[in-house]
Amino acid sequence: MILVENLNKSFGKLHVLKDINLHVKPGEVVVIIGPSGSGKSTLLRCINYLEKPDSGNVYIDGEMIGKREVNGKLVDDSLKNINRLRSQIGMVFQKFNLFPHMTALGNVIEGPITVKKMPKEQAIEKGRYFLKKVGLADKEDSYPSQLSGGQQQRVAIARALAMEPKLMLFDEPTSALDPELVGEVLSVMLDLAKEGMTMVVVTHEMGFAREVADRVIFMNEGRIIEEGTPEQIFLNPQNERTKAFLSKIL
Amino acid sequence: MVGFFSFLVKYLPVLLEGTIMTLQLTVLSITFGTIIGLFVALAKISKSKFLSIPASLYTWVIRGVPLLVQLFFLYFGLPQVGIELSPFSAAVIGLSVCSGAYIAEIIRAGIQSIDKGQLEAAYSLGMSYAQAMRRIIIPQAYRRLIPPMGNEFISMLKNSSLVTTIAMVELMRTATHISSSTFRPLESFVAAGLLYLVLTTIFVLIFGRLERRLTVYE
Ligand SMILES: Nc1ncnc2c1ncn2[C@@H]1O[C@H](COP(=O)(O)OP(=O)(O)O)[C@@H](O)[C@H]1O
Ligand SMILES: [Mg+2]
Repeated sequence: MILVENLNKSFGKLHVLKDINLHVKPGEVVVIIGPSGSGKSTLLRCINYLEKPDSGNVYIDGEMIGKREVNGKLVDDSLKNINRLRSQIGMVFQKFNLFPHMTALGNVIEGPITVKKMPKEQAIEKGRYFLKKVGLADKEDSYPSQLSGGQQQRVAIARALAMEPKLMLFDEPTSALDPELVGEVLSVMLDLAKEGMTMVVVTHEMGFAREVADRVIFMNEGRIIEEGTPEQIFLNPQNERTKAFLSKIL
Repeated sequence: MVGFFSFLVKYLPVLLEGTIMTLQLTVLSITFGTIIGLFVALAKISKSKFLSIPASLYTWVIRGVPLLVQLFFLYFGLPQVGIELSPFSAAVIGLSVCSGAYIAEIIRAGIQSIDKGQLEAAYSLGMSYAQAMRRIIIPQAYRRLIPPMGNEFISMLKNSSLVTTIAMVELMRTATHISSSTFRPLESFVAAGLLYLVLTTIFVLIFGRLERRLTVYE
């Protein structure tokens, strides 16, 4: 579903991602952990091409994102194609990034209507379905400012799901939430994972990782240092840095 | 005081004609200025230097040169190279080009005040830059634009009095005419001032109301 090959990314002199290789199979749930600044967000942003990698390739379901082969050479892909691929990748942000001028339902139907050109009636029907799925059927007319953080993040998840993406990327979806609101968001994500959604989740919620992650990846200073099942990483980490990091957060 | 009152009654119809012209000039130049300003603002924040450099040049020159000089350039300067503009055309062009530069800055600041995450959320749904601007960024910026646009409108209303110098007959010039034909400059200009004050007050109220209506969701 996702294939990342020799990905490198720098911001100026700062080499943020160093030779990242990653393969996520359909239906797999991969959790990424690592200290702040280790490049986790940048990796997710390279996967849906919000950030343009300096070198290396990213394939989504076999299609290369951002580049295209012409006469055996790789050239920049058209924006149209990049947008089309992006529309198949759901993304959930730490700060929700809901559209404040639209209601909850308005947020959820925006993608289907504007990007997929879906008729409004149909989009509304679908939007209600996804709001119900995240447990917010009664909030469709509320504006984001009228919702709690946990509710906002669930609307954001519904908004991403309404595009019927092939995979979902989550960038610390619960770290901006008050502790008592974390559970409601995790439980929506848990359901998604159980339904077989392919997910890459940056999170330090160990309970979530243990319950649903097929694989946990530890990143440090732009490299994938260690990966394995949740048990391997959390209970029996091999790398010193992984041990040091886990001892800080567990 | 009684003298002023009868003066006002006598000349009000002519003054109102001038007032209507002033209002027309202001509305026209703000309308064209907004269209110019939107494109210039988008050009200014564009990654393409081909767009952003001319746009920056435009706002730099127009905001840095007095409006009076610009109007004289259009009305007295251009005929020298064979371009003759009527007072009305010169006034509308001059005021529009001028307000366009200020409005471009207002719109640019408005767009850039929107959180970067909004654009990213829009992109992550698969939107193009144009779709993201049209559906997500501009509607949010638009609400923040109301107060500075109100200020711009009012300063344009007052600035429009400068076009009296290029033979455009509006409120200010009407007052000047009355003053010289009646030899009562005090009453003439007090009357003009009052009419400007009425207009600006009306627009302050309108924009204030607009602002309150549009900020419900925040
Ligand atoms: N747009 C950017 N411009 C410059 N530096 C950036 C940018 N985005 C991220 N960085 C830097 O890249 C490094 C990795 O950031 P990030 O991927 O956000 O890490 P993480 O999500 O693991 O905390 C950090 O040092 C950060 O300051
Ligand atoms: Mg991050």
